[in-house]
Amino acid sequence: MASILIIDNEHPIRKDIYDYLKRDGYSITTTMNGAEGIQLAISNDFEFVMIEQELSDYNGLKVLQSITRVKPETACFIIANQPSFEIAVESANLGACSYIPKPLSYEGLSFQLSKGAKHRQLFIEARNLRKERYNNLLELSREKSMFKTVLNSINGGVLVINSKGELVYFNNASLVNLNLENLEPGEQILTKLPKQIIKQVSEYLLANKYTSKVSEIELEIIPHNKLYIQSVCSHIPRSTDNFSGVVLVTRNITQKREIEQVKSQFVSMVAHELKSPLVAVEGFLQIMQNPEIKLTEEKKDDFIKRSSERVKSLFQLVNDLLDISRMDKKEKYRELEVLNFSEIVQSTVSLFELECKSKNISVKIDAEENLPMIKVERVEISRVVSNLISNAIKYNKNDGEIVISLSGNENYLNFTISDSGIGIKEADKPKVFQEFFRALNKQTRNVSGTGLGLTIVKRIVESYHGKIQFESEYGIGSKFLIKLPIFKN
Amino acid sequence: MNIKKILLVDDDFDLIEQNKLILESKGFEVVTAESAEKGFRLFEKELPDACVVDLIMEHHDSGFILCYKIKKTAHGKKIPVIILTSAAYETGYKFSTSTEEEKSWIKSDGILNKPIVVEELISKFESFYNK
Repeated sequence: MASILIIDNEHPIRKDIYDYLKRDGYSITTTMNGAEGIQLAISNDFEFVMIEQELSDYNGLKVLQSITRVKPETACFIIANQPSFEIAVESANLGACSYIPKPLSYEGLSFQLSKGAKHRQLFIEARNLRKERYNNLLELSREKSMFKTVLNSINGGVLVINSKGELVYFNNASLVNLNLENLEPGEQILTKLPKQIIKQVSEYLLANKYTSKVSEIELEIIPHNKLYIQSVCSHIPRSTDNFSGVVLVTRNITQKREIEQVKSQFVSMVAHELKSPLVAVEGFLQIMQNPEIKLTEEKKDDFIKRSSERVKSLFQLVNDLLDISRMDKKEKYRELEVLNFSEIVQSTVSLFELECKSKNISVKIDAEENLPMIKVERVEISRVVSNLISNAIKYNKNDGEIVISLSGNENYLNFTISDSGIGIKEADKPKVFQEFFRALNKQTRNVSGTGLGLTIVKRIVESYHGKIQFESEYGIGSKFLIKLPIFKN
Repeated sequence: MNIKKILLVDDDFDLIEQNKLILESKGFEVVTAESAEKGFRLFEKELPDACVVDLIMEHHDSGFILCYKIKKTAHGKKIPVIILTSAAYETGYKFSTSTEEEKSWIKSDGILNKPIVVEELISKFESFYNK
């Protein structure tokens, strides 16, 4: 039920009007006091308040102001004994919805009240809309800031360009990926981008209609493999056949590319290493069949022997390569045993007896008693030992010696093997563990090898969390030291 | 074409011996070196009429560098320098002198695949002198 507060000095309303309003369903409260009127209006929810222009304690306009300040939704009316244009304007300015001259009639009042009800309703609706809008804006700004945070957190660069080629949005990663210092939203972005990306983006910006196709390119941003990126461009749809711009997603692929390069380099090197012995054997065969080249029987025998050596080295190379390729997978499927390393060394050395004899090389094994055990795969660790012994023999002088020593401490088992061989030149030292590296000089010219032996040794040792080091003096000899973690119960 | 002395540079001793025999059987005098560094010294000393150079020796690009050094000398400009390699296209090393860009940095007068085919080599020499 709608309620009316009437603040008036005189008895505010004629009995008949009062009755009519009652009949219309209004509840009516009256007061003759301005202060009390304000109090009542603020502490209750009157739909309508009628205020006499001149009250005994207050100016009616003051009362109006006090009420509208707190309850702006209330429909207030100023009732005037002596209507004046100025007062009418002022009361409207202070939030009154109408200015009603006396005497009041039922019809006049009824009309004003229905007008006031509309006024009030509009005000409340407007206020609700304002509130809703504010909440929406708040949500939007929360979403926006979340969107920004998310885009700035991701690893990939995101750059949005509108159909005019202006920058709409970019995240930090896109600055990093494109090696740009700074960008300003709204600026013409194309000229700042690398040529290949300009071409990529332009094709999308100049398109006649929307396409769901994505274009992907890879390009170098900083030369010499410092920064290599993948750039993915796609349309941002506006409708089914129209677009509002493009989004460019960039990703740093430098590392991936490096791995690819290492891989392809490795394959190239393998191919070259496989081809070299074949070329040599083919060459020997051709020469021996060439009627224009006269060879002594001795030379022919030499060529056959050398061909056979090259074929052997090819076999060795294939075996080494298979070992290397298996190694990564193998770690997972190892058959580990707790072994006495000293036994492995002894048995491996015995395999090389013949080779040692032919060069008259002596092998001395110096092993501490009660060496700690190690937990390894027998085949792998034998391979480590045999590769090192084989090197110590191959690169040794005639009548040379090999000293192997084994010792242990609470963490590691130490294995060192020293030879009195040709040693390693300073310049070659950094390349010793490199795949396919073989020091080439007069002393090594007749030594066959794949250049993978030490690579394999290092890989196996490190896969057991061991360490490998070497010392060498050119012309004097080399010493390799391996530390393997011991087995603890 | 009047080639008498050929400089052969290769780090594979078997190949040096084989190619030396083959070229000598065709009447050439052959001097050999087993590294790019020694090859250049021998080039300066012997001033050969042609060079046949391996590619991958001390380094992956030793042959290219040796070619470049030879071609920078006055004598080098007058003689054919051919790269002989097993690291050709099929092994993944991508180079040839088919494009202008490659010609600008590969200074050899031709690239041949191992094993050597004397007829191919001589035709490379001839096309150099007929230029």
